[in-house]
Amino acid sequence: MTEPKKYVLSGPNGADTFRNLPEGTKIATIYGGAGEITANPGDGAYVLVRFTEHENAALVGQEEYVFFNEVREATE
Amino acid sequence: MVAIIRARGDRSIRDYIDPERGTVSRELYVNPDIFEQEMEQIFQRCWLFLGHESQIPNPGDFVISRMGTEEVIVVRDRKDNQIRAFLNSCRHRGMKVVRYDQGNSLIFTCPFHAWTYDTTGRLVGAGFQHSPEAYCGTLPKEEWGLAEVAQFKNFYGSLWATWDPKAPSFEDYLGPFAESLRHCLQSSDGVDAGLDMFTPFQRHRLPTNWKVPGFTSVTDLTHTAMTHRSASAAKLHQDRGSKGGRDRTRNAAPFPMNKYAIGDHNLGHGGMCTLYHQPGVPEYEEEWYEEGVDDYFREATARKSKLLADKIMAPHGWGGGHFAIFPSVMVDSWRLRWWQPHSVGVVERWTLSGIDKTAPKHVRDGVRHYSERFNGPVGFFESDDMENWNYVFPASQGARARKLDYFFANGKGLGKYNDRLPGVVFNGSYTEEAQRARFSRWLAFMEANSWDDLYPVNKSADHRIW
Repeated sequence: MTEPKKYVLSGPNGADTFRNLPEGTKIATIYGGAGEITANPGDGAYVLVRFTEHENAALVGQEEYVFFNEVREATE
Repeated sequence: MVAIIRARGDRSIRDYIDPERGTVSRELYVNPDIFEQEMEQIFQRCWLFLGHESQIPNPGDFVISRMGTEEVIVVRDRKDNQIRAFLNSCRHRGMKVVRYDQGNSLIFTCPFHAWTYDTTGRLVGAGFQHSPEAYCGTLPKEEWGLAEVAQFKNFYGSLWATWDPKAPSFEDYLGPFAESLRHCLQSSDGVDAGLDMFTPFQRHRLPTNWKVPGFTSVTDLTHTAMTHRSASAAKLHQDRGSKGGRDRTRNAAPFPMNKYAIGDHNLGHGGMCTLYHQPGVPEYEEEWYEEGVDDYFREATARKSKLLADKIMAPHGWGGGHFAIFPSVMVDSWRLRWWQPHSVGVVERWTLSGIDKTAPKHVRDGVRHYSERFNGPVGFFESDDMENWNYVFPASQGARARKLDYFFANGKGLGKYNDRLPGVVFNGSYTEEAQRARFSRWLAFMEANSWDDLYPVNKSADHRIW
């Protein structure tokens, strides 16, 4: 079984990679939340994420904009 | 510099207009304090033109417009498809949120601290918003959305807004000119909201006060013979095609009509006016250089004739001349042209030209070419006007020049009311009635404490000063 592709969000190409993350990308945040990208405005600052895990239970299942600096990991 | 008391309700501003002599002090055009009062008293209160819905046809489409000296984002929401308008200024530190003239976006993210707003203006994110070391519950997002206009109106495809919640409805603001504006926004076969505007549209900056073109370039027929003499001599004067102005027979007998300069002193609107005296639409007349375009418009006019066979048309821009919506919009068929003040001596002229939504390519091209060869700095006709607009301001602002008055008495005292347009003064085509009406309204706004003092919120108000 192959490992899912992990996007490199640091380094000189990190900003451009973040700007182009496709819908469906799995996201983990630095605050312990997780979810899936439902839309990417392409501004390099935010992605819209539907949370599957969140320390605030009320946000599970909800969509929230997540700032690039709050993304710990993005995988296919 | 003449001291202008800046408090609202200051009546000394009235001293700068002499209704008896029919004059206006040049101070009103060159004094920066008066300009700032205009932004507060007029542009914060009036319904202002923002653009046309065809500029933003898809969800998430936006275009930047202006209200006075301030930019606004006009955006079609991604979910409910509604068009809204917001001040282009981040609520956090005031940075310009959108720096493109137009586009399509999911959200608007401020490049300063990453406050971000959705297409309803709601604050939906801020940099580090989830950090336990950052906002920590001190940012109630529902209170920090983009500043939205107080009232917004889509009037047959044209988009208007006001910052003042006490302003009257847009239809009441237009008064008898509502039906005229509606006609100008129809396609050539008479279908409502039937226009597509060409994008990107024309914008150019002029070194003059906004009132120089804004208050005098509509219904200023005495300038045409002189200013546009070369264009007329070259037979370029006629709107679109090969015939010179004097050769035009459109609207001539057997379709009786009278032409006037008109002005509504209570509302400030006015301009050229053709009153037809019989139902229906004047016969179409060939006027296009481009092959096949006349065929299209001839057929469209035939359809419009059937639609309006039993109706006497309201005065409008289809062969009837252009008119102005106070404070700074000029309208005729297919064209909405307006002046955006930047400072006391700088104004931008924006021009939206359009064509029927259903028009074929060769017709669209023909109308676009006409618009380009007529309007703007490289247009043969308006470049004539810019010579005047550009030099009026520097020739009026000097220490000596500004002590003089402008003459606005042409035709003063000759106007008459007419039942066809209640409240509107009708005067001869070559008079300055429309300009005087704008100054009646201008003075009313500059003196008013609020819309409670202004017609039509105050229905008994009479703003006519001359």
